[in-house]
Amino acid sequence: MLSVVDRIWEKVLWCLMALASLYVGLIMVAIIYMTTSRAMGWSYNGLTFVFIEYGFLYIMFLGSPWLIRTRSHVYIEMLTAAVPDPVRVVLSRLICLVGAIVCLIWAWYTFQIFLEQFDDPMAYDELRAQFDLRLWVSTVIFPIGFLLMSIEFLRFVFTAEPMHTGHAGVASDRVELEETRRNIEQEQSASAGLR
Amino acid sequence: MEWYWTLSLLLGSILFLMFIGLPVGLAFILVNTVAAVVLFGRFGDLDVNMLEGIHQLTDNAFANITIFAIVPIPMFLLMGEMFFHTGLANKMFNAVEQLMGRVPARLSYVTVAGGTVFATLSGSSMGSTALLGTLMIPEMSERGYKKKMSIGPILGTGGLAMLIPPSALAVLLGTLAELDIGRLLIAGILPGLILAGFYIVLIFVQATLDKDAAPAYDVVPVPLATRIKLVMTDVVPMISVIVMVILLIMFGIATPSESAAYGSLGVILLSMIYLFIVPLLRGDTAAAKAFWPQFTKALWRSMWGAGRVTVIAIFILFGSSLFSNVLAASQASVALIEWVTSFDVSGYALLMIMFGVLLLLGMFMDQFAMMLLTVPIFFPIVQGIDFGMPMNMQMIWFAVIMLLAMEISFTTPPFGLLLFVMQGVAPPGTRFSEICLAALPFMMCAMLLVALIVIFPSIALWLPFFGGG
Amino acid sequence: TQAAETKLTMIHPFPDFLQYTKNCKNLVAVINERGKGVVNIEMLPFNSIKMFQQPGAVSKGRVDLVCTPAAFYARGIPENEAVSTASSSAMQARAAGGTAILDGLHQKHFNTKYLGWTSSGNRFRIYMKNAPKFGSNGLPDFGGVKMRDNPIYGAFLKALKATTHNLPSSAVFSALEKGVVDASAWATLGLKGLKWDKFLRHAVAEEFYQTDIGWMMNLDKWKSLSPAAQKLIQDTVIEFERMNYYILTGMADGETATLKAEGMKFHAVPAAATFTKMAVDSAYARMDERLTKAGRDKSSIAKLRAAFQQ
Ligand code: NA
Ligand code: NA
Repeated sequence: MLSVVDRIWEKVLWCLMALASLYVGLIMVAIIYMTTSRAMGWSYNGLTFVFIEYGFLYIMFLGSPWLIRTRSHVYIEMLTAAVPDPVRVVLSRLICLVGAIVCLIWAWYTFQIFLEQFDDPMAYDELRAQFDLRLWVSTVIFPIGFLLMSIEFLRFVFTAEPMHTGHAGVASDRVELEETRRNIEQEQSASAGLR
Repeated sequence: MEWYWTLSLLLGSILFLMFIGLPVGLAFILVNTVAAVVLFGRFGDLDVNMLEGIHQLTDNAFANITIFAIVPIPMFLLMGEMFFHTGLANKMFNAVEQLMGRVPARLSYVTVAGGTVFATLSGSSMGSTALLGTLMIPEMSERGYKKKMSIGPILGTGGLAMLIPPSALAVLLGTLAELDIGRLLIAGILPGLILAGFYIVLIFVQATLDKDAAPAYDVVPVPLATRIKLVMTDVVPMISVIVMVILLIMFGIATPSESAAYGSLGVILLSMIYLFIVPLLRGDTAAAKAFWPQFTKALWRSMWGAGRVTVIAIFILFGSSLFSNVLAASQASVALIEWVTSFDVSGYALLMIMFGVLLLLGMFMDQFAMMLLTVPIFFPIVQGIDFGMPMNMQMIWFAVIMLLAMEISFTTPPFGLLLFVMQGVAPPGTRFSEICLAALPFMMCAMLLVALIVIFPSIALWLPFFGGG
Repeated sequence: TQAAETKLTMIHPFPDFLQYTKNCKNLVAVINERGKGVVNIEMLPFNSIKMFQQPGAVSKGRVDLVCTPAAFYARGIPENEAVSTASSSAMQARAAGGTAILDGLHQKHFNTKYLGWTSSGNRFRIYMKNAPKFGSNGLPDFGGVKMRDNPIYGAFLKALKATTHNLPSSAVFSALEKGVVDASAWATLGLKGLKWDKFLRHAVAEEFYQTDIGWMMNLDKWKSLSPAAQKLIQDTVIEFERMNYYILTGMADGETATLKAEGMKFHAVPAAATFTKMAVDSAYARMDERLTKAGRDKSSIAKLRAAFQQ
């Protein structure tokens, strides 16, 4: 039962990360639209700028929970690689508990801030005053993102294999390497098939 | 509290949290939170203090993260990923190898050249090390190359990539330090070429001294006509994307931040030509039909890869940029700058100290975090020193040195993120000491270049300031 | 018995080398000198709090004081644009009761005490790479001009048919060099410091608006001060309104003279009065619209315009 929920939950987080990736592609399109318009002397929608700039916050909070789950964030496995396994497991769970608490605290207070800004009719993005952007539009993603991150850290407190695997080096690189390897193998077999 | 205690406490707790394995971005966030509650929470009640402290951080984070200056991260990543996933990067590699014919240790040269191109495009020396390590080391080992001939050049390319434009990291440094980015990019060209020259000499010497390091073997000679055709079909188009990106910047059609978006578009168009139009013209309808699924897959993987690293980078940026605000608010960074500049030591001694700090940080930080941490401290210090050149030149000069220092720190034994990455990709049985030994001569080349740039600043400044400042 | 010296913290939005920061620090130094044993202001370094986030921080009381452009929180207090678009000097605006009205609005809506407008005397101008064209109506025609955008005067520039582009000021130099933009409005003071005059060789002579930096303090903190401390701070700020006016006008005139001597062409606007009225009208229309939308009292608008447009 729990594993079914976990698998569905994983799909949800994957979808959020996919949204973040799609956003990166859209930023490319937005920049080309804006820059080409400018070079040609055409006017363009100023909100394109806002779409790009606000995007970075959204991309981070959408993708971050998935990356915690897949051990992709940068963290250093120096101590956790040096200590014996039982110590590593306890240490890793403690670290993840700290992560969960910090994220939960942020989720709670940024939710308060969101409510306050939602109720305040004068709380606008002052830097981009010409666009009439309410402040809560950017703040709303904070509590959501931090809550999801908190849940993912908390999950690692209880999983059989903790977040820190004890392999020397940087965990995220190992994931990236495995992905790269897999992709290259796939590509090679694909191109072999084509030939 | 005296400023040095504040500073030690802030930096010490960050380093400690990183050391025990807290994700780097979160280590910053945790320390920032405590510091902000102390600095801005003056309301008696802990709950209110927490709310106001985190409110201030949230406001600052909003201002720090929603800025156009971040554009180079996702865009350069996207361009590099597209080069890789569409198979165009590989195509160029193979072509270059064939072109070189029977040069001894040619795969080492190919690695330097190809690696530089790839790292330049992806803007990530970690990604490029991983890719090259996976691609080249097994192939070179199979042909009897010793590991130092494969691992060394791969680790050396990172430094080249940082210097030869376009370089995402140079754009970022220029943005953070508010430098003339166009000039900074051009400043990297000559040092980059010199470093490439050093590498070529180094490989040549290594191959000559140790004949077994890169055994010669017969290859089918490629006729001149085929060579020219290879250059035209497999090398020129890829290089033209890079040239286009540089031209867009130079002619002011796009700012350096925006240029990579056009680079990605260029790669998309190229892959359409290679994988769809050319097969179609040849009448190879099967290949043309296979294009669409292949292309969408490559596109999706590129966005996913770029998205992934972007999230990782922004998460660290989130924490470390807030840290620079907290550091300022605590008054520790200003006091440090005043303290350092109050000493009657020479500017060169200060330069050495800053270089050393970068080497130290490179043990456990990525270049982006390093820049965010040090730029607000180092550049004001450099602004206060007289190296006997106009200030705008001095800033560019220091930026080039800083770029090199960061790359060297990435690869200096015993700790260096790239060394760890290499350990991960190298064939089983590769000892860590082997990797360190292979890296060492290449790092010495980079060090030598730094020394040369310090002694002869015109190596970096002649081109960008050609015709006056 | 002597009460302990009150410690106040202060933030400022711009780097230390700018004249506005120097003026702000001078004022702090004088208050600290005169206020020994009564009040002491500690300036937090640049970048302690991001510039557009500073007014909010003072409103909440995380920091006590700020010297910031009124435009940086003009969504919170739309009436602030009266300062940004002023033609009066700070002394005129205060004598006519304009500053007192603004202070009332700050206290009522932003939980701050508005102490004064310390940067009058420095106005704005439009600088261009190429000579401006003027239409038959006597106004500049910016059709085809790639203008750097700004929330305050963006609407005004668009009304003159300019195409506007968002760029941080740090990116403008290279954008001008490469032709990404070919015009920008900027204060009469400071163009040379940014070296933009290397490319911008023409100016629309008619000036408009003013730099709108002022001092404000968290209201709770203000109320907690002794009357002596309040008087000391308020009087010194008023003194500096006048002093800075003369400093800034002097510097701006000097820089204008230098620009002219170095060959920058100044082009007079045939319909100068219409030009400046358009600039002010666009801002007041926006003020009215924002207050209406928020359902806020609009009775101050006319009084503010009378005081700040003399
Ligand atoms: Na590069
Ligand atoms: Na290192």
